[in-house]
Amino acid sequence: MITASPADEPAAKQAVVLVVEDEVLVRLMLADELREHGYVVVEAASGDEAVNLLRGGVHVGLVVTDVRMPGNIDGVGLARFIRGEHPDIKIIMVSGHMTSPEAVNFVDGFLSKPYDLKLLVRNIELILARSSGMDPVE
Amino acid sequence: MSSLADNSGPETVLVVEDEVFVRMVISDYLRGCGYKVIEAADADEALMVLQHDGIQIHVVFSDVEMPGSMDGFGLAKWIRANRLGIDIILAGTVPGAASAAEKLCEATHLPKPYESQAVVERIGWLKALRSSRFERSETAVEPGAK
Repeated sequence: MITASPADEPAAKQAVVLVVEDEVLVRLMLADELREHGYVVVEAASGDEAVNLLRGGVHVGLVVTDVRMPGNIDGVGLARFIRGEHPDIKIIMVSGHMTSPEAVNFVDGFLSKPYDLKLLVRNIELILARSSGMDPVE
Repeated sequence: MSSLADNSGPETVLVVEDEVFVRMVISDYLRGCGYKVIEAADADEALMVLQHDGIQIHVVFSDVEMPGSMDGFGLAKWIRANRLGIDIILAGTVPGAASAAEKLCEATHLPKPYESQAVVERIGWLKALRSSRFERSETAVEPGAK
C-alpha cells in the first residue's frame, strides 16, 4: 500500500492528513502544526492536486480542505469526489465564507476562517478517534 | 499556534515544484534525512515564503519549468538579486531531482532514507496509478468515449 511516507505504515494515532489550501502561508502553518502533533501530512495547493494524490493511491485518513480555490475543482467538489470515490476518508472543511448547504452532506466537520489551529487539531483528533473506535487523546 | 518564525533546529529547504507527486516524494525524502521542508507549488508561492520575514530558508530546491509568473531560472535570478546566502538547486527532471535530493541528504549527519532510484520509481508508480484511475473515471462518465 502506498502511504504518504516511505517509512512503515503510520500508527493509528499518526494518521495521514491531506491539507488542501491554496494560500501557501496558511498551508504551511497548518501543516507545521499537524506535524508537530505527530501526523503525517501531505500538502496539496489545489483541489486538482488533491484529486491527483488520491487517484495516485496516496493513503489518507482525513482531508482538511479550503472551499474557495482556483482550478477545476473547489472544496465542495473535492468533498463530493471523496464521498463518491473514497467514502472512508474523513473531511473537515474550512472557509472564510458561507458555503453551500449541500457541502454539509459531504463533510465530517466545518470551521469558519479565521480558525484556532488548536481547535482544528482537536477536531481532527476527535474525528479520527471516533472513526477508529479509540478514545480521543487527552 | 505553530510559529512560522521557528528558525532553530535543522536547515530549511524550500521545495518548489508544480507536479504534486514529485513535490511530495522529494519533500518526504528530505524530511527523512532531517531537513525541515517547506513546499511551494510554483515560483509565486516560493516568493511569498521567501519574502516572509519570519521564515529563514537555507536552500531552495526548484523545478525548472513551472507555470506562473516565473520559472525556476527566474526564481533563481530573483534569489541571487534579493536573498544572498541561500543555496539554489535547480533540477529539470525527476531523476535529476532525485539525485540532487540524495546529494543534499548526504550532507547531513543522518543516513539517507533510501536510494534515489526508489524516489524515481515511487513517483512513476504514483503517476501511473493516477493515470489509470483517471482513464477509468473518464470511461465511467462517458461510456464508449475514448
